[in-house]
Amino acid sequence: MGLKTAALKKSIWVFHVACSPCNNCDIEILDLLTPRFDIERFGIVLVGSPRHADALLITGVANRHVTPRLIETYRATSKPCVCFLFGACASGGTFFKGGYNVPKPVDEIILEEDPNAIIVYIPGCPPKPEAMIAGVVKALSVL
Amino acid sequence: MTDEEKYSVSEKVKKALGGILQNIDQPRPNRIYAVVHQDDFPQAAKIVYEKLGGRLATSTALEVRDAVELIYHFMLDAEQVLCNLKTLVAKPELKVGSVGAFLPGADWIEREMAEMFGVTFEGHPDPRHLLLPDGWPEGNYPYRCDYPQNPEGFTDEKRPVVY
Amino acid sequence: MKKTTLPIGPFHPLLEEPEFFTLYLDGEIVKKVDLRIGYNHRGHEKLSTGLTWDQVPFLVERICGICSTSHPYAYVLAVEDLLGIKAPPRGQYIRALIGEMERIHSHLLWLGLAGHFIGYNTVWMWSWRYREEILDACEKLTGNRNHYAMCRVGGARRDITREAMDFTMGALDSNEKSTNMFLGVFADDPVLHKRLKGVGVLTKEDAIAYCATGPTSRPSGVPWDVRQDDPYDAYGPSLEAGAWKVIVTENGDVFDKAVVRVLEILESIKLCRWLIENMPDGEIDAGVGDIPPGEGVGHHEAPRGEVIHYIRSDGSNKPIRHKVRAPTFVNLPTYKATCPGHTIADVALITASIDPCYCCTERIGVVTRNRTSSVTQDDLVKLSVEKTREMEKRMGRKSGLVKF
Repeated sequence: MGLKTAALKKSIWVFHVACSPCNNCDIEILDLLTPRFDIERFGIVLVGSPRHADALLITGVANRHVTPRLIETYRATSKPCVCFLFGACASGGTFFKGGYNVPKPVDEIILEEDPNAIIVYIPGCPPKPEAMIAGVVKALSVL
Repeated sequence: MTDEEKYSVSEKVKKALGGILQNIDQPRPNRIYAVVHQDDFPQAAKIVYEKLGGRLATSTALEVRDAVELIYHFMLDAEQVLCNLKTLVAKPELKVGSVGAFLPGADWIEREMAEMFGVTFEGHPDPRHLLLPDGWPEGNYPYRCDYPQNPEGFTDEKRPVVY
Repeated sequence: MKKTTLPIGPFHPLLEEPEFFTLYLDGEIVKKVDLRIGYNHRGHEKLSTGLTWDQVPFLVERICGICSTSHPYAYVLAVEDLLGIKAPPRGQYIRALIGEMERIHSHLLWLGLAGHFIGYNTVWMWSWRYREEILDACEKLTGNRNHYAMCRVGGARRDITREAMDFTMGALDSNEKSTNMFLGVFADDPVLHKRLKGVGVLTKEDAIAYCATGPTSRPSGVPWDVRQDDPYDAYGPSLEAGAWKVIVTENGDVFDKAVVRVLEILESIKLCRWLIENMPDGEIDAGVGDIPPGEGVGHHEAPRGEVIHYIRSDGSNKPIRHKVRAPTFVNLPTYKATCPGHTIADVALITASIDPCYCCTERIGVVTRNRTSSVTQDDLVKLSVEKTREMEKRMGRKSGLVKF
């Protein structure tokens, strides 16, 4: 483990990228901030700019309109960064796979941009907040 | 509202639309389907909106053999009846007068129908793309029957980003 | 003065969903607003024509995660309209119950976000905390926190148990208490009055011209509510029994939009109780077979307004056209009427006031920490009320509607 990865693992700051989601995963992510789950006790904070972020929380399938913006956002994030793909849509495409406005799965888009990207899948429709926390913790423990 | 009162609404619609009405049908008490010619369409929509107090819920376009069928769903809230105003817009011109020109509520939905079906709404105040990405190739209308689910030959992922 | 153009988006910290605003400014005053959407377009209407009649509810459920019952509800009503049938009573009541539970949690969600938008993070944290109780009840009733999958052509997909209904009653009771507290906050707090009153007024004429629906039009004095205007399922009997009423106010500003939503939560709680108390026994599903050729329209009053679905069948096992219209599609263009003339800070608030599923990922909420363990929540509420009374005295205002 390099120094950068070791530093990454402490108190990750996250930026939320909503690429054509159905809003459900997004609401559950915000739920994590509110009193019942309160992920700030783990030092996880939502930030307003990808330049401040250690991790990107990506939800939804990326449609043609949003794909270039997703790539731009990934480029703007300081490396190394972790990409958490929340929900079944971001992880696998589900219904929308093969639609006329959905060219590629999200993970392929990111891997094309950066073959060494760290991608974590948290499937579920939507994943329960407990599952989201468990996924993030599990991912950080194997990094 | 009883069912008899609802059935009497179609008489009201018939009277208001007068000579431009081609056909009217009320299969269920709370649903009216009225058909007019495409040339009279904006006028008919204006009558339903202004005289009958209809609220434009939405409008649907769908492709039939040699035309695109437009259905404007007007909700007559006081009468508890949904009045569907239909017309056939003939191919290949696909031109019809715009309802969005006098009813701001029809603005966005006509933009959507224009890009999805290729219908030209004459006199529309703001004929731009609404939902499809910038640089979407001309002549591609995704909701038409012959359009594939996943079209080939798109390279727009590599184009420069213009927000 | 020089004209300025301010771009906002598409991954703007204030917006949860990607959208792109262009504000044309004169100084700080907004002259014109332009909106580019399409970042969320996935082509549901095309995908739906590739699925069978019974698969479509699962697809349309995923149009929106917050109104996730409204879309399947409107779809099954459309197909039932085509068939000319009605669901069995128990199926109707179950669907209506889930629809109303959804309205409660959606309005609480909006209330929290509205609080956040005006920098009132306590409202955000608290309303989302009380929303969790409703989500627990939803999970008990249906098995999932969101995406309930309870609607099916001809009835409900699953039955609900007596135990779950009792649990829901408990959740509704505790939620009613907290909603009354929020009503008190809105009625009494001078800060909210100053910030929200007279901002972003949507006049009655504009609401009619833009065909706005739901809690966007009702604060402007337009009493459109599909549940009342075209009663379907259990809404007809409950309206006759006087279990709930449509909330309409006159001013059309952001304050009224908030108050309408809070009052609607209370009405929905009453309706949920009525539905559970009068839940009939029997079948939940009419057992629909083939779908004949024809067309049908179904609409449901979602938390944000009217959802309308149109379907056309040619007698095969798939719809040949399925049109979906979500309420935000007609509510969002009202920004053209409400935004010009306000400041930039107000524009965010006004566009949020129509509840276009916005969110705030930028900032973090600060939860008041109990330094001494002896302070309970009731004490904190009491302290807050005392503070409000003091402020009112200083500002020479009289107390609002609600007393604690």
